[in-house]
Amino acid sequence: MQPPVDERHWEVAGEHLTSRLILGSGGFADLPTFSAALAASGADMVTVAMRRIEQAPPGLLEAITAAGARVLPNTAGCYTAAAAVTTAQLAREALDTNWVKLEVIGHEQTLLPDPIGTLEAARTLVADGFQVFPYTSDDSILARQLEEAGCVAVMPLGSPIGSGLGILNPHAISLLREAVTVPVVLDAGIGTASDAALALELGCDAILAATAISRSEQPVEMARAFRLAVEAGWLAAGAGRVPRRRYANASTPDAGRPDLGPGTAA
Amino acid sequence: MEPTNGVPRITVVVNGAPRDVSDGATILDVARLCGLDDDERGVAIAHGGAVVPRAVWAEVPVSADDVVEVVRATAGG
Repeated sequence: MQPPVDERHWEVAGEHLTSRLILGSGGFADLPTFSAALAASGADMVTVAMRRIEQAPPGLLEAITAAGARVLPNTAGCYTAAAAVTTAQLAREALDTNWVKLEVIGHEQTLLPDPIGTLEAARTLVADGFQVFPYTSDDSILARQLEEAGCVAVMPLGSPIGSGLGILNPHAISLLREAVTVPVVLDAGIGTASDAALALELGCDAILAATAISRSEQPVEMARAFRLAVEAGWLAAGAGRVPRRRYANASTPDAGRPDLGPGTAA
Repeated sequence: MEPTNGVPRITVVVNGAPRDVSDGATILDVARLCGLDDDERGVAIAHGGAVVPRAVWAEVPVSADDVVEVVRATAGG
């Protein structure tokens, strides 16, 4: 018998995920801190990168597996579609997964995605049997094209990778959310827990955070804050916020005000 | 390369550095040269820019000046 499905969970590429927080594994001081943060975060999916073995100490994969989380390999550092495709294929071989967070970077200072290269690589990878999660700009037209190319999710940035600037254009994220039917995972730029809550309130299905947790002063505490923030944001999105008003609108009724002098009676 | 102990040697480029292997060496030999355990998870190898499936590491020979990349899943993203 299958366990009851918690409505707070979500699905992507036909798989069930229990947390709307995807943890990026980059930037942690050491493996024990990462493992403690992973446990505190509640995340059940963690990104990893592929690097030459001299720069890639073993142990991370075992830590992720021990926590019961799945891996989402990325193509970080690729500046061409061809490099990203080969990196994805290396990750598939190494990790026995056809899921890939596709990154085709366009500029080394901003790390903004190359939209043309990203779409090109996405098409190639989908044709090669990958489940593609593209890191993309907050452009809803491009997001729709990525969905049409067969991507299983889209991962728009809130602001440049590692900048901690938060979601600079919430309206664009909201429009993007409406433009696609696949899950939207807010990726990049998140600075603190309230940014994560905002992403969920804007309709995103999940968020990915690395730097905001790993390079905070207390990564394990921040991981817990993010766990609570994604749940709070998701609940708020479902509960429906009040409309914004130009002027005040008292929640306390005027009717029945006592007469306590001139101008006070209702 | 000059033969060493009667076995001809060739140089291949592994992760950007020249490495001396015996003529006739395979991708599996290169993997072992890099210290990989035969059953290690999370690693993969590209040869001339194309992924070599682990199942055929022992069957794919390397030639002089071939470029081999040996990668492992690590922290990132």
